[in-house]
This record gives sequence, structure tokens and C-alpha cells, in this order.
Amino acid sequence: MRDWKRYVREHLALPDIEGTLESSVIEEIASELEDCYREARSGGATAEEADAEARELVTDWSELASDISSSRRFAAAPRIEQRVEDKEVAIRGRGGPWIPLADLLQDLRFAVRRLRRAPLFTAIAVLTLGLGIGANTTTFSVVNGILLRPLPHIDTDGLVTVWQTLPSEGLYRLSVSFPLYEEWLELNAVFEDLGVYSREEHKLTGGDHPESIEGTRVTSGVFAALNVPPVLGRTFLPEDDQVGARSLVVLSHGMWQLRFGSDSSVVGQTMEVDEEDYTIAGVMPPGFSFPTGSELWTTFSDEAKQSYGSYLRAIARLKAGLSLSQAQREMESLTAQLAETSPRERDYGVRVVSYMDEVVGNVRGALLLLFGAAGMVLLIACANMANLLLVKATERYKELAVRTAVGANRGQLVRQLLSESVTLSIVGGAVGSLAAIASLRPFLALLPPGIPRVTEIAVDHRVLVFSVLLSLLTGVMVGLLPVLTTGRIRLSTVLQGASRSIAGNRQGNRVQAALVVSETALTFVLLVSAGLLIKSFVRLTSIDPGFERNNMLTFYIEPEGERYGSEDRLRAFYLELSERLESVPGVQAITSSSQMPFADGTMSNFVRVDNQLGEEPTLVECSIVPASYFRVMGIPILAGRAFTPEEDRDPTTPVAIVTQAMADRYWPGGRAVGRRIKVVEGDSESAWLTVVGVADDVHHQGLNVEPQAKFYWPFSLRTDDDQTYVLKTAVDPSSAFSAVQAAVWAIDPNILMTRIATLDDLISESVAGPRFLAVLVFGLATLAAVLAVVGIFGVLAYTVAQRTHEIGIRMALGAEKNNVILNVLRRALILVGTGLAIGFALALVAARVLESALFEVSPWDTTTLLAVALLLTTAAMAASCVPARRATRVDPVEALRQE
Amino acid sequence: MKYVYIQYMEDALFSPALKKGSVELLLLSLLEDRPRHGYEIGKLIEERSGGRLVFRISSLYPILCRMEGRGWIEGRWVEKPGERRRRFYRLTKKGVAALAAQRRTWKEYTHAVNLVVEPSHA
Repeated sequence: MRDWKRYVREHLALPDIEGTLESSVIEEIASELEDCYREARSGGATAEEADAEARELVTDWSELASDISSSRRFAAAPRIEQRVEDKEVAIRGRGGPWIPLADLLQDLRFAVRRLRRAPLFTAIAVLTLGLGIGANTTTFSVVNGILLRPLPHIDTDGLVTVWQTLPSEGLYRLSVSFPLYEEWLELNAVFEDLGVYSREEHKLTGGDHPESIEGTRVTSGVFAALNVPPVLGRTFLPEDDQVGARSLVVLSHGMWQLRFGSDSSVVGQTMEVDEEDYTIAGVMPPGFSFPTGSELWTTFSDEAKQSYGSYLRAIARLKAGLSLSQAQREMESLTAQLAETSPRERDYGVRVVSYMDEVVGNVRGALLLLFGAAGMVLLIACANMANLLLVKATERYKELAVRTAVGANRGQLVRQLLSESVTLSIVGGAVGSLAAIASLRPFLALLPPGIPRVTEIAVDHRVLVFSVLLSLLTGVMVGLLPVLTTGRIRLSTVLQGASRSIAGNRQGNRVQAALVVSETALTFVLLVSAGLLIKSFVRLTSIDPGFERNNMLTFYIEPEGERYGSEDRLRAFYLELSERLESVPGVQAITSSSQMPFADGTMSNFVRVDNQLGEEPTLVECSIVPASYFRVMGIPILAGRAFTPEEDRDPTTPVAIVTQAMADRYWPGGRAVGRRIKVVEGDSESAWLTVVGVADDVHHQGLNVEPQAKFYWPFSLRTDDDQTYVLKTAVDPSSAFSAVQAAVWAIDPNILMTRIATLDDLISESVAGPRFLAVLVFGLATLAAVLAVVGIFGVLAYTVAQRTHEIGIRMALGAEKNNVILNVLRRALILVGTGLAIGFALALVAARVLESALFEVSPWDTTTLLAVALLLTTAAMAASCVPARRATRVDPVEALRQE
Repeated sequence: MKYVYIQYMEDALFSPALKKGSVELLLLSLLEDRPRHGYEIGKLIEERSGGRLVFRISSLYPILCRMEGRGWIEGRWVEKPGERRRRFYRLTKKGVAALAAQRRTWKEYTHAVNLVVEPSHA
């Protein structure tokens, strides 16, 4: 006969149990096996048969070992034991999952089976949760791509933008000049690297007609600060910044592939940029783009390096260990020091800002607003689902009670209920996320222009993890509420035949009511936000820009090269161009400006005014325009006159036209016509310009930006400035463009025409952001409203069904149908009213977030608040009508019979 | 003893929960009249159920350990003359109370089942 003790010892591994205890276990099991063997032998079995029969008593030794280890008799450290009757949930010291995986899979299988038996409920639940999770996945994709993802290649830690400021004028983002940059470079103690750059559109030739490419002029410090090594060649060195250095260009990876066929010997070759030869110094890695969209980087011209013009942006990397605030203090100190030696700089300040904030700061608020709105929609969807599951739990009360009776503990019941809600939310999340992924590209195409990093928005691992975690959290949230509300499930309660149920009891009713009130409150906030944003957008678009916007085609041209090397030649070119353009069919009138509203940025100059001679010159916007400008643009001359055609040609006539805003600022209450101003540029001043007219104000940078003080000077005085042309057409402007282009190229086929658009499109683009935000929030708010109204309907319908017996009794005792209806409607009104009250309070808090996105609309706009409250109340009352009428159809006899 | 299938409940409900609940009841009731050892308990269950209920040592032994840990039963090595020593289990006072509670629960359960499976309600 086998040595059964040895046999058991060889098969049974009990690492948690030692010594006599282990021996005892082994001996006991061995004695059982021996008893079996002996009995089989006495029954006539052979030794082998009896041995096999005994060995069959234990087939899974590892399961036996784990069961023995987990039993309380063998409690041994380290092991944590839950205080539950069912030892299956004891946590094992080895750190494995404390819920047997088999049980979890079983729960999931049951959940799927149960959900398949209720297809309508499952479909509604999946759709509801899918909408909420999908909306959040989409907004998170955008938030992730813009705010969270690191910039490709560029380490933004310690990377800053440095602005000059002019607090007295309320200006905090002023470009800098080369001289100022050089002083900062020499004297600062906070930057590891510092550089300046300027975006430009470059002309590349080589085809039939020139091509416009976005590029950036940079100093070597920019590449040093960004610290991204090229894949070929090198970037710029400090010696390349010196006057007299040769012109160099660094290519983007895309440009290198497209124009040079990824030729590895491209470094050292020459390419023509803006009709000048540049030597290719290097190629940047794929995906590198600074600023976004730049295809090549060139050194500054000698002329630019010696210019006093303030048009440069400064970027720097802080020295290791320095904080932003330290850098700010140091630069302020340096600026004060510079002001002592240069009185002109006295009023200027400096601002050091994180580069990432510069890139995304203007959209961060709007994005977070959208994310919050999507989150609210999900909460509302969860509230609806929780209510649905609460009702479902009622139908299973008896089943749950019986399970408890046969040994299932609360943990197992919780797991079962949660597995259903989690399954629903995972499926809903998968559906919603797939829809979000599929619709991401079309959604991005609708984004307004000017949103940074749009090309970097994609569904990456972060988005997928977010979607999965959100689905799990949603499932737990909606499933937990019915579980927490069940309390102790008693079989005796079921046996007593009580009609008590989970949701029908007082606690359940309160929970349902609380959910509906919460939904209503959140929906109110969303609808108010949407209403305010729409009102703000309507206000914005009703603003008159101050000029004619219909059928106005604009484009930008910049004549370059030897051919236009003198003012006379430039003037002759522009005059010939005007004549040719006027003869294009469909063109009614043409004009131009150095700074076209909505098409170009602003230009500013310091001016000295005749009645403020003792004071420092002040900064004022300016534009260079021909005589036709005010007439063609439809800008009224409020006093005096416009420029004359003679003044277009004669540079010795020093005149200017000011805007009403400038007249009010410098000659308040007086007459501006006849006054004089002088333009101050560096150390030189122009001759006195006599004000010959006052023009009405125009919006230049946006409909929401107040027109600033501005003056116009005639075309003849500054021919060297680039011009944006405007053509008033009798037909659709886009249909005239080919003819216009032909007219330009007839003079010079190498002229580059860029920034082609209609003024109407430009203005429309300028409000695309507010429009997009309003539409999106409105869409989310509508979805929320539908969910909330459905939620109210569901709760009331369920309440009526639950109270059928009570209603029956009332009607049997003589209650009028109207009273029954009023009862139901009163309950609905209480729910909605409470929700609105809380919603009002939440809206006051949300107002602070919304304020910056509104234009001339108060976030506490009473009309909007009241209108939304009325709308929600009406919708809720309408939803309550059906259950109210159903209540009146209760047959008192039937209702009584249900007892 | 026969298993009763309840239409609206999941099949596998019986496997882990019910079996666990019923085994403890079985073991406690078998120990009520006198102490027994593990192998004897298993054989008794099989005999008295007409072979319908078979619990192997791998199922019984951990439950005996658990109940001993709870203080419902007490195990003791007994050596009879001419025989190998065996571990006998007997009910404790706590075990007697636990047996009474389990019997009550079992009656409630079967009553509830019958309420559901009966064709009509009063």
C-alpha cells in the first residue's frame, strides 16, 4: 500500500502553514485517502483499483491547498481577512486578486444574459450612456491635443515668451526691436538662450508663377532656446546673426521632401527666397514646426538687423533652477536700468510668460468650458440611468432576497448589480467612443480658424485610457446608487407579501427625486449658458464694422527686388496696377491700405500733438491709404475732407486724416481739422502733418475690439509699405479673382498675391470662435434638456404606477379626476422648482467662468434666466401630462384588488 | 432532497451559493447526534442521499476547517486500539445555535421557492 502521508505531502503545498499544524493537515487528509483505499479493497477492488479510487478523492491539489490556507483555522500573518461569513473573499497574502476571477466572469456572463433579455432597456441605456461618454471623449480629444500633449520635439519646460509692455496705454503684448533684443541679450542674467523671430510669407520661384510659403525669420538664439537638433546640417550660429553674414535658410522636413526629394546632399545648395539667394544650412526633423505652419527659417537681412522697427517676438529658455517669477523680477529690474539710459524706454515694462500659455492660452478657457458642459451632459445621463436601474432593482427584489437567504452575501449582490451597470456603460462607452473617433475629423473641420495645434488633435493612448476609465467610473456610479439604496434585503419582507420595494420605499423615492432635481439644475445651467452665448453672438454680429463689407475682395501684394528698389518705381507700379485693376470686368472700384481691417494687423507710431508739445509722444495706430480709400470702403468723413488724388502723388504735401476716437482723445470737444501732428520714429521726427479730415471709427481687429485712436497718412508719403488691395465688385467677388490675378501678372508675372479673401469672409471668420462655442454649447444643452425631461417623465410615470393602489382608494372615496391630475402636476412642479432654485445658484457660480466669453451681455442677464426657467418648466409640465392623465384612468376596483 | 429550478433566477445561482449553504447545514446536522470523522461524514451524505449528493474530501475538508475556525465544531485526534488515529469532529454550543439558524433559513428558502413556483397566489 502506498505511503499516503508521503503522497499528500508531495502534492499538497501549504507555504502558509508550518510545523505541527501542517503535519496535522497532512495526516488527516492521508487518513481519508487510506480509509477510501481500504474500503475499496474490502469491496473487492485490486490494489491498483483501490489506489486509483483513493487518489481520485482529490484531483485539484492546488485548489485544496488554497481553500485550506484561506480558512480561519489556519490564520497566519501576513494575511488580511474580511469580516464576512464567506471566506471566498479573504485576501490572500500573496497579493493575488481577492475576487476569484471565475466569479467575476460569471457575474459578467449573467449580466450580459440579463441585458439581452431586455433589448429595449439595454438599447436605451447604451444610447444614453453612449451619448454622454462619446461627447466627453470628443471634447477630451480636443483638450488633450491642445492643452495636454507636449509640443512635438520641443521641451516647453522653462521656455518663455518675452513681451514688452506699455501699461499706460493698456498694452501688454508689444513686439520688440532689434536694438532692444540686443540689449536684453547682452545684459540679462536669467536666460540660457534668447532669440527673436518674425513670421513672414516668402516668395519661392521656380514654376510658372511664384508660390507663397509660410516662413519665419529667426536669430540663432531661437534654435538654441528650442533645442531641437536638425536631421541634416546645422541651424544658425551666433555669427550668422551679425551684419554682413551670408543669408542662410533651414528647411522643414516636409519642404525638404517636397522640393528637394529628400536629397541628403541638399546642405550647402542654394535656393531662391524672395528673389534672393539663400544657402541651405540644414533640415529640421519631421513634425517640427515653429511657429505652427512654418516651412522654412531664414536669417534676418542686414537691413532688418539695423532697423528700429518693433515687430519681433522674443523667445527664451530660462536658466536651470530659475522660476518664471524670478525671471519676471530680473527682467523688470533690467528694464528699469535700461530706462535710465534711454528716456524713451521709461514708460515701457516687460512681461515674461510661459510659452505654452502663449500657444494655448487664448483657447484654454473656452475648451474647459466645453469640457465642463460635456461633463454635465454625462452627469445628467448618469442620473437618468441611475433612476432606471433603481426601478429595475425593484423588479428583482424578491430574487435578491432569495439569493441572500441561500448564502449570497451583500458583496456578491453588489458585484452582480455593478457588473450589469458596468457592462452597460462599457458597451455604451465603446459605442460612444467609436462614434467620437469616427466623427473627430469632420468635427475638427468645423473648428474656427485660429485654434492652435489643431493638427495635433488625434485619438491617442491618453484618449483611449480616458474613455475606458470614464466608462468604468460611469458604470460604478450609476450602479452604486441602487445598491446603496437597497439596504438590508430581507426574505421575511418578501414572505410577508409586502408591496414594499427598493424604489417604492421612502428612501428610494427621495433618491429618485434628488436625481431629477439634480438633472434639472444642471440642465438649467447649460441652457442658460447656451442662451447667453447665443445672445452674445447675436450682439457681436450686429456690430457695424464701420465700413462696407459686401462684394469686397481683398488680396495682399508685396513687390520685391531690384525692379522696385526706389520709391518712384514703386509708386509707378501701384499707379499702373490701379489702372489695370479698374479695367477688370466686374470691378466697380479699387483701393488699398497698408493695414486693411480684419485682413492685416495694426501698425502704430508715436505721435506728438500740437497742443501737447511739452509731453512725451504717445502711441497711435496708423494706416497708409490712397485718396479712394474712404469712398470705396464706405467710411464716412465726419469733418473736413478725404485725401485728394494729387496728394496720392505728391510726397511733399504733409497732411493726415484722424479718426473720431483720436479727435476725442487729443482735442476733446474741439475741432480737429486744422490741427497738426508729428510722427516720431526713433530719434527722427516727421514734418508737421496737418489734419484735413476726421473719419468715422472702424473696427480693425475684431467686432468686439473698440476702435482705437488712429490716423491715416496719404499714400504718397510712404510708398515703401506693402499694400492690401480691396476691390469692390458688381458680381460675386470670387468670380472676379482670375481676371484680377491676370491683370497683376500682366505687369509682373513674379508678383506674389496672397491672403485672398472677401471682407465679409474675414469678418465672419473673426466671429467663428464665438459662433462655434455658442452652437456647441447649445447642442449639448439641448441634449441635456431632452434627457432631463425624459427623466422627469420617467420618475412621474413610475410614481403613478407605484401609487396605483393609493390613487384607486382616493378615487373610490370620491376624489375628482382634476384633483388627481393636480396632484401629479404639483409633484412635477415641486421637482422642477427645486431643480431651478439650485440651478439658479449654480448659474451664479458658472457666470464667473462664462463672463470672459460674453460680449456686451451680463452673465446674470435676467431675461435669459427667466426665459430658460419658463422653458424648462413648460417642458416638464408637458412631460407630466401623460402620467397625470394615466393616473386618472386608474380603475378603483382593479386598484383595490391588487392588495 | 431535490433541487428546485426557479424560472426567473439564474442557473448558476445554485452552484456556489446554494451548495455552500447546504453543505454546512448537512455537516452540522450529521454531527448533531454524535462525533464523526471526515471520511465517515462524506460517506453518510452519499448514502443517505441515495448517491445524489457526493462531496469529496477536497470540498468537505476546507469546510470542516472553516467551521472549526468559527468555533462551530471541535476536532480531536482519537486513537482506537488496533486502528490508525483519526480526527473526529463534534458540535459545540455555538455549532448547535448555528445549526438551528441554518435550519430556519433553509425552511424560509424552500417556503419562498414554493410561493413562487405555485401556479396561483391567494
